[in-house]
Amino acid sequence: MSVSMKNVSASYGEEETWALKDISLEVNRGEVVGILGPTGSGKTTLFMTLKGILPHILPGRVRGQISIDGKEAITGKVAGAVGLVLPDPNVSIVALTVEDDVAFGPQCMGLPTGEIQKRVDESLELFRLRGYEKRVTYTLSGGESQATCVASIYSMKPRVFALDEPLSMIDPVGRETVLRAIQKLTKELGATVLIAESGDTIEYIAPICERFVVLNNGQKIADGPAREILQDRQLLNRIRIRPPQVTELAYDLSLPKDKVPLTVEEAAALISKLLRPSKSKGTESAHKVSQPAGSRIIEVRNLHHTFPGLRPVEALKGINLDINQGEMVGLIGQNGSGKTTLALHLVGIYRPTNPDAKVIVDGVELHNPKTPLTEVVKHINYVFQNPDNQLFSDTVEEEVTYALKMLDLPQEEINRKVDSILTLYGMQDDRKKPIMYLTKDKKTFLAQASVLVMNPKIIVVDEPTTGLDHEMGEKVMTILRRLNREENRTILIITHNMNLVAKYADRLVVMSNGQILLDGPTGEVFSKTDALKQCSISPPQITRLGQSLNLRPDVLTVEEMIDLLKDRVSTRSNP
Amino acid sequence: MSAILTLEYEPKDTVFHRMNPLAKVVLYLFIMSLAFVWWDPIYLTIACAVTAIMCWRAKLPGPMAKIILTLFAVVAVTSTIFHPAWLFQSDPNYFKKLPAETVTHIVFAIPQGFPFAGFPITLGKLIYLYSYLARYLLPMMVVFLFLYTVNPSDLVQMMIQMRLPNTIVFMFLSIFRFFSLFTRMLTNIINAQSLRGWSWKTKNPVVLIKRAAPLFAPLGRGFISMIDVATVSISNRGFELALKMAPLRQYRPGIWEKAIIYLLPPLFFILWYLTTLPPYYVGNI
Repeated sequence: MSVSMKNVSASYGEEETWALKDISLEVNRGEVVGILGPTGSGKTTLFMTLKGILPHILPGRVRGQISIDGKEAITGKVAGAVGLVLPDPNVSIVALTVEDDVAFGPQCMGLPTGEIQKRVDESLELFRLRGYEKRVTYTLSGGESQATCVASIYSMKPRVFALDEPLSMIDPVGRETVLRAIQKLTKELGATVLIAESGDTIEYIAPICERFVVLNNGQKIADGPAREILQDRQLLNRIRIRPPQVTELAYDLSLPKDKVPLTVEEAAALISKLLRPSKSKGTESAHKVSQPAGSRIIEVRNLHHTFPGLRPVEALKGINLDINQGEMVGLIGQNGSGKTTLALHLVGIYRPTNPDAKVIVDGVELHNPKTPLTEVVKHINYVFQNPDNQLFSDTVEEEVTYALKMLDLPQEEINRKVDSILTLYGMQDDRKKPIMYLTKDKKTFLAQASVLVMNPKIIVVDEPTTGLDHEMGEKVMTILRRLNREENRTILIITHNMNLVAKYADRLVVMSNGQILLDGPTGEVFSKTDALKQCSISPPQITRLGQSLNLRPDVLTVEEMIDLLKDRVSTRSNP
Repeated sequence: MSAILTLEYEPKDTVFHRMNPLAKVVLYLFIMSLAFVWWDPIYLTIACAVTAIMCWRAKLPGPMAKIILTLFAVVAVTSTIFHPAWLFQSDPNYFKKLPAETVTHIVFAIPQGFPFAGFPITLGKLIYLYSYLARYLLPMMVVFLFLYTVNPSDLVQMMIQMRLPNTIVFMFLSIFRFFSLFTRMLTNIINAQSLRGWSWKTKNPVVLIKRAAPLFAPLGRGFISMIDVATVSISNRGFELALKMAPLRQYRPGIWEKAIIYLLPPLFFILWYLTTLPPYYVGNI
C-alpha cells in the first residue's frame, strides 16, 4: 500500500469544526486516483494533511493514522515522499528564475550538482519550459507559472505525487503534457498519483484516473472506479460537478451504461456503431456567421508591448483588433501568448511601448500616456481573477458603493445602483455582511458586482469561473450573458476553459506568441483544428466528436449535439 | 506602480550585475559601513559621489532614483526640523579635528521676527548637519543598488556553496519570498483599486495618507497569509530534507573580485581604526 489514511480528521488553527472528517483511504503503488469535490469540500486539506504541512507548518489539529509506503507519517515532519503541487502558483514558486525554481527541490534533497542539472533539464524539456530557464518567475503568465510549479515538484521525483487542481491555468495542449508527465511518473517510477479536481478540467483527468474518491463537506461520500462514479448523475449533481461532455452526451442519449465514454475516441467509436445514415450533408456549419449590429467600440492598431530586462520580452507584436459594441468575445491562446497583456492595455493599466500604436476604447485614447485612468474606468473595466485582490472594504455594501463614491454620484443614485446590482447577484441579504465571512463564490460575485455597478460599456473578465463549481460558474456566466444580450454591453472573456467560450462567446480571438492568429465566430474558429494546434488550443470534446464523426465541424455544446444525434442514434441496438 | 515593481532585482548586463555575488555583498557592505565610520563631509561627499556613479553604471532606473531622492528629502526635512542635535554642535570639544575657530564661526543668525531670533548658526553646526544627512544618503543608495543588482537566487546558491547552515539559507529565502510576494500583491491591489476610480496622485501629504487607506485592509489581510505562504512554499519543496545541499551553479571569483572579497574587510577595520583612534582621526571631524 502506497498511501493509507485511517479515520483522519483535520482542522485549521483553533477551529472546532473539522475541515476533514474521518477519512479512510487506501491507494496502491502506481495507482492514479482522482479526488473529486466542489469548492470547500476538503480536497486541499486532504493533501495538506498527507504532506504534513498541516499541522507541522500550518497550525491545526490532525487525528487518525497516515502512512506512506508503510511508514507512519503523522508524527514526523513534512513528508519528503509526497510531492505536492498547490493550486495557486504564487504559493508554490520559491526562486527568482524558472531554472532555480525547478532545481530547488532536488537541491533540498541533497542530490549532487550533476544529478540536479540532469533533473532540471529533463523537467524543463518535459513541461515545454525550454527557453524559459533564465526567465524571472514573476514575469511568467499564470499558465507558465503553473507549468513551472508542476515541473518543480516533478524534478523531485516523489513517490507520491499530489496535484491540487494542477491544470486550471494551463492551455489545453499544456494540460496533455502534464498528464503525459504524470503517466511517465507512474510507469517509470511506480509513483502514486492523486489529482484533486472540482470540475473545469475533469475531461482531461478522467481518462487517466483509475479511480475517483468523492469528497463533500469534508467527508468521503463515494469511492469507486472512474467510469462508475462518472455515470452516477445523482452523485455528480450533489457535488455540483459536470462530467466530461462526451459522458454527459452518453447519458442524454441513453447509451448503454456499461460503455460510458470518457474520451472523444471512445465516444466516436461507440456512437459511430449506433449511427444511422443521414440524408443531409453533415459537414456544413449550422451557425450563422453574421456581423454584430453595433458600431466599433474598441480599436487597436499596431500595438506592441515589450517588457524590459536583460532579455526583453516582446509580449505583443503589432496587434490589430476591432471589437463592436454588444459583442461577447472570448480571448483565448496558449500560456504566455499575451492575452492578459492585451487586456491590461484595453483598460489602461499598460500603455504601448511603441509610439505609433493606437488604442481607442469608446472614444478614449488609451495610447496617450496622459489619458487618466479615472477617465478610462467610466467606459471599460476589468474583473481580476482573484477577488481577494479587489475587495478591501469591511462590508459588502461599502465595497459596492466605493467606486460610485469615487465617481461623486448623488446618494440616491448610489442607493439605486447598489440595490440593483446586489439583486442581480442575489446578494441583497448579504448587504451588511463583513466580507471576510463570505464564501469564495460570494467573493467572486462581489468582485464582479463592485465593478459592474460603475456601469461600464465594456467589461473584461479574467477567468470568470476559476475556483467556482459548475453551478456557481453557470450563474456568473448567465449574468454576463444577460448584461450582454439585454443591456448591449460588450464583454471580453479571457479563459482557458474552452467549454465556457464555446457556450457563451459569439466570437473568438486566438492569440499566439503576442499576435492574433485567428479571429472569427466561435464555431468557425473551433473548426480550424490545425491552426488551433499551433497555439496549443484544443476545441471542446463535443466539437472534436462532431469533427471525428464527420457530422459538423462546429458543434459547440452537448445540447447541440443531442439535437443532431437524437433521431439518428439507435440506443436499442447492441454496440 | 512601476516604481514599486522596480524595488526588485532586474537582470541587466552591467558590471555590477555580472559581479560575483559574494564580491557584490562585500563591496556594498564596505561602502555602507563607511557611513557609520566617517564624519568628514569631504570623505562622505566622495563616497556618495562614487556610489552615485556606481548607480549610474548599474543602470539604476529613473523611478528607483526618484524613490531614493524622495526618501532622502523626507529624511532631510524631518531630521533638520525634528532632530535638533545639530543646533547644539557649537562646542569645540565635540569636534576631534576641526579647529575651535572654524567650529564656532557664525555663518548667520536667525533674523528678527522669526522664532529663536538671534540664535547663531555656526559652521560646526552646518558641517555636522551635512555629514549627518550624507550618512543617511549613502546607505540609502547602497540598499537600492543592492536590491537592483543582487539576484537573490544567486545569493542562495552562493550561501549553499559556502556551506552556510540551512537555517540561515531558510531565513534568507523566507524574507526574499515574503518581499517578492508583497510587491506582487501590492501591484495587484493598486491595479484593481485604480480601476475602481482610486488614485493617489496628490501633492498634499494628508490627502495622500487618506487615499492610501483602501490599500491597508487588503494588505493587512494578505500580510498574515503571506508569512504562511512563504513558509509553506519553501517547506513544500522539502527544505531541510538533507543536511547538506549542493549548489546548482559554482561561483568562482576573478582577480578583482577576489581582491574585493579579501581586501575590503581588513581595509574597513584599518579605516575604522584610523577614524576613531587618536592621533589620526582620518575621516573624522
